[in-house]
Amino acid sequence: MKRLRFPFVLLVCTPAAIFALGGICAAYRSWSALGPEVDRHMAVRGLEYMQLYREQLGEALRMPPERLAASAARLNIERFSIYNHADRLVATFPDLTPIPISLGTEQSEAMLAAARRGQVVIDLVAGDGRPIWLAYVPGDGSLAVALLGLESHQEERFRRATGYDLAVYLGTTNSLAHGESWPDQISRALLDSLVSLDRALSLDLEGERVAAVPFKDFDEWDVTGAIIVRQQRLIFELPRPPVIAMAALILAAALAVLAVYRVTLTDAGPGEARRRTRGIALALVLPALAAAWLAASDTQVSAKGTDALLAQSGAVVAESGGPWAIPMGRLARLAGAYVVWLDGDTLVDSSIEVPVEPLAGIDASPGRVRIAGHRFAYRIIGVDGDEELVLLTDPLEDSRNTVLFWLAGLYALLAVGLAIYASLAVSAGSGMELRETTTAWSFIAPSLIVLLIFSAVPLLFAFYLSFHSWNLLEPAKPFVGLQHYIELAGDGLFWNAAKNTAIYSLYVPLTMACALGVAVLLNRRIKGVALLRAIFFLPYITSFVAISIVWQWMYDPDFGIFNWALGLVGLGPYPWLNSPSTALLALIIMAVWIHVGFQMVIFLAGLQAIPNELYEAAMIDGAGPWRRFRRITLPMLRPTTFFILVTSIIGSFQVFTFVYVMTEGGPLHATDVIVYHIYQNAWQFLRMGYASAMSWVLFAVIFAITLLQFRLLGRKMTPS
Amino acid sequence: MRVAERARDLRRRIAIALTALAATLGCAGETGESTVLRVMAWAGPEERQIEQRILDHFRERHPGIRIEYQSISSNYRERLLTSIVAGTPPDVALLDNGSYGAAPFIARGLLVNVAAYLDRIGVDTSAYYPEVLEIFRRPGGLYAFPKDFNPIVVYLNRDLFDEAGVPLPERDWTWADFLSIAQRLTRDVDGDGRPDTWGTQVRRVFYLWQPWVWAAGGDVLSRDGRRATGYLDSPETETAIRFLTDLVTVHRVVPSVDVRRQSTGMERNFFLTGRIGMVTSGHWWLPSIRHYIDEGKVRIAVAPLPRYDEASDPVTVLYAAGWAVPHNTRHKKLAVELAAHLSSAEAQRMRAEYGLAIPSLRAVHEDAAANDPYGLEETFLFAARNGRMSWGSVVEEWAHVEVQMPDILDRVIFAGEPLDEVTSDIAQRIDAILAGAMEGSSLR
Repeated sequence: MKRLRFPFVLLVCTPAAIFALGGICAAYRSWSALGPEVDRHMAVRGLEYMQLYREQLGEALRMPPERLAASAARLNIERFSIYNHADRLVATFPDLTPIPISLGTEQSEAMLAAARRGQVVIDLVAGDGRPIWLAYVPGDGSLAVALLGLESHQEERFRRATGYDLAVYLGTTNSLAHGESWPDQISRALLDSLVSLDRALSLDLEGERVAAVPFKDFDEWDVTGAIIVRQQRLIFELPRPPVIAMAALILAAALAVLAVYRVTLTDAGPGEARRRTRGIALALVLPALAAAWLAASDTQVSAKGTDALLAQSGAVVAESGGPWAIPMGRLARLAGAYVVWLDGDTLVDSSIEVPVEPLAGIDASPGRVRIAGHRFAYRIIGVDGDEELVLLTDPLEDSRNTVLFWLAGLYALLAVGLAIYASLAVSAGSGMELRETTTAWSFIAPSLIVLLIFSAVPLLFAFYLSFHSWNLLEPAKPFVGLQHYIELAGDGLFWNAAKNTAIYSLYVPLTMACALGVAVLLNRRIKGVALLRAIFFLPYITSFVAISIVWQWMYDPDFGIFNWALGLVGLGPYPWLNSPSTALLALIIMAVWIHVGFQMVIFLAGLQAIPNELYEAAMIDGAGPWRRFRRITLPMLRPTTFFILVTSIIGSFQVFTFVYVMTEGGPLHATDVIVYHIYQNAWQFLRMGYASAMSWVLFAVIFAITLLQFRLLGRKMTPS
Repeated sequence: MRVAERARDLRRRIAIALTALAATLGCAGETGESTVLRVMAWAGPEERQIEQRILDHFRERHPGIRIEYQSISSNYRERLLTSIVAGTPPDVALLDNGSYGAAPFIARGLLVNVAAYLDRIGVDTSAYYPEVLEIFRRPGGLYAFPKDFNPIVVYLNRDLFDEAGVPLPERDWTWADFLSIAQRLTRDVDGDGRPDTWGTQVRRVFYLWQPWVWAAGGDVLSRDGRRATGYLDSPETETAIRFLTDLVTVHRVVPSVDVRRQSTGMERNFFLTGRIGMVTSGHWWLPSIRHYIDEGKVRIAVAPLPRYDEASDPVTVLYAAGWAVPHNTRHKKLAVELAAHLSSAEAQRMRAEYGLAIPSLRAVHEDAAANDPYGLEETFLFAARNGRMSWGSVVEEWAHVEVQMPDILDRVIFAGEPLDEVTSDIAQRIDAILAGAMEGSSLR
């Protein structure tokens, strides 16, 4: 019983714990408001929020005075003044008291100059500590100045949306009015550290944990203030559906683990184990269903939230009163992402005017659409005749995916675990056997999981990539079907690379012959044999790049040692790497030299496993050395030979380093091999999709060849 | 007994689970104190030491900041691209106008436009060589602070010239002079019927033969960089390619066509040991051969690339590197300041002592030239004045285009194909690449 405990923990508890913890972390990050990490995250959200507010102000300040006056209340503008290019007052709101533009201090003069130069809103602090926003309107050279009200709608909205108190400090002194509540003081030291470190900080402010981020000017350059957030104290809050779902699934996991554990512990026979497994599976169904239902209901709630957001955007447009006055910044904040124009059947980004993607499936009612492989919620706002504004946003329900992913992973894992266990229980002859099999699986479980995550997942992802046009730099990664495979069939360079790879793999039989010879010669007790073996093995453990560089020197047609040596016996000179007809041969020769040592070591191991009695018996029967080699050594080495053949052929198809360092596939593509071709397409030309398709073809070829080897030679190669 | 044992076991397991949970939550709540700036570049060991010293000066001015200098020797472009796209960019990265071309980075908006901050950080761009600054400039924008640059010139082994009794070329030499000198330097010294010294060397890597194409009045791409047909296969371009291939196949004044993509130092050794008389290369040769000159083992001279004929102007190609800031750095101001510091006069002076390349600040280069004990910098100043920037600074697909070029030399020299067929074939292939027939660009 005790023997089983440790392996059991490995088999079921470790992966289950990984997934459960992952799920908890995901839920924690998404929903809970605990911990400085979340605080800082919220501070950054507060920052983004204020940046959008600033953007809206900038847009508003560029409006004609009467429109600006209409938006003033909404944007929390208490007063504004507009000056023409000669600094003469042209408009004020709400009365005739202008806001002076020369504020006197050196700092404000500099900021005024920046407004004139930068043509955007900047932050400034008036005498009573309130922020002033300036905008320089490039068209007619006028300057708009706004003094903001003390009451901040933004802070209230932020609180409602996130459950966090938001405080904005501007002016790098402890000055900004943000409402009188909390916290009143911000230390100079805190601002200084925000300025010098330029990152979000967690800190203790008057006994409360808060998070602060630097607030920067319009071009993200100077730190002009700070955004501080503090979580609101809540008396009681119902756990939201996903949290319940998580709890239910974790409970299910715990039940399953406990149940399997119990089954393993008993000495019951397979029949009993099977019954219990069935019982566990049934017991799991209920909590799983509950979890699924809750997760689904949460998705529905989120979807409703997205719809509400889109509906709200309609109100914003209606409020604006005309197409030219639509507050894009505000819309963007509502939508969370993009505001684009619908022009014919193409989306045009309002700022950069490039076609995004031909659209299909967008109609008048709000809905969801997939654009460039990404899901958006959208709403079309009729603006003026043909012109239509489209709002695109990430559907809220999609952001739940991380948690759902972990939930699904946890449940899938449990299902797989149970399935394996059930099949073990069925096939096992006795309780003892069942336990032993479980133990065996437990021990390989950790490496199996690592293998699955780091090999199987990338492999499958490459398969997915091969059907997509996947350029690292392009945001759009459209599905292209079999296009890459079709292109591959007609790609002369690929087939040339395939041919070269096949020729290159001929080094394998050559090396095997040499390695076997060397191994037989060195398989005896003579002085210095260990040193000789080490010398033969040395190339294999030397850096391939170093070898490549040295061999390049040796292959030099005019100065290289090979041509010099061959010249002594009246041969050559040969161009080696410098000619398309000999370059591949030169690589093969080098490959033989490198791999002989490795194969020799394997052959030596094989040779030493041959019982000496066989040779003794053969000698008594009068067999000579050649006969002994042919009749005993070779047949007894079959498994070793087969192993070397299969692994080396696979290795030969993956050759890359020599080509990369020595020839870059040249001259005249004579040494272009498949993996180099893949590398070139993936990294030099950034065609990930095409490269993945090639990788899969290469995989299929290697797989087929290996299978063929097993079929043709596998049976023969096992010793009789 | 058994119940008690299991209860103990359960307690232990709960304790372990709680510890694991606490550890997970602890990770999430972790805070680090110092801000880290990452610099990504390629550099040799000596160069790295200099860069560290330059960075130390920045650290002294910004206490509380840590700087990590990453030197990446292979797959630089790939590493940089993936790190930017993955959202974990370095704060400052080195880019050039050759194989690590800045063009795609600029075109895709992956770099910060530093033009808006020049007066705020006190950088005067007029102090830079204008040709070098131009590489990283776009209408309304500057996307890197030039670090240094390399014009391609011709290194001459004076010992070999003296042995062969050939006078050193004048600064205004022509292709005809180049050929006749190469022929006179190619000699069979030991009388075995094979030459032992050679006039020059031809390498298939495109960056070395680009200036020859320009010298003959041709080019490989149209002015806007979007078409190769009509340019790569123009008579002028073919004249230049023919001149180079003839050095190999007709005049036989070169040891062998170099198939290597990376320099292994081989051609340098053959140059230093007096086997090859004239080698085209950049300023980067100097640090590694300077001590041979100091020890009196070799005497060298540097000449600008020859002009096509008496009537034409001298021209060479400039390869420049500059410090850029990825658009998604988390510390924009610090990063831009650091990038500016890395190409400041102070930094450039420290690098100039080592002399891997020519400082991009004209004043620093002129100082270095005035104090040059080898008398070589004059030629580099001359070359810099006649330099043009490589296509890598403007053509986004340059990496893809450039690898097509060695095929031309290969096919003419090895396969003996007619030059005009080869160039028009390759030109069409390049046109297809530029037209975006390839993946990824098809949507643009």
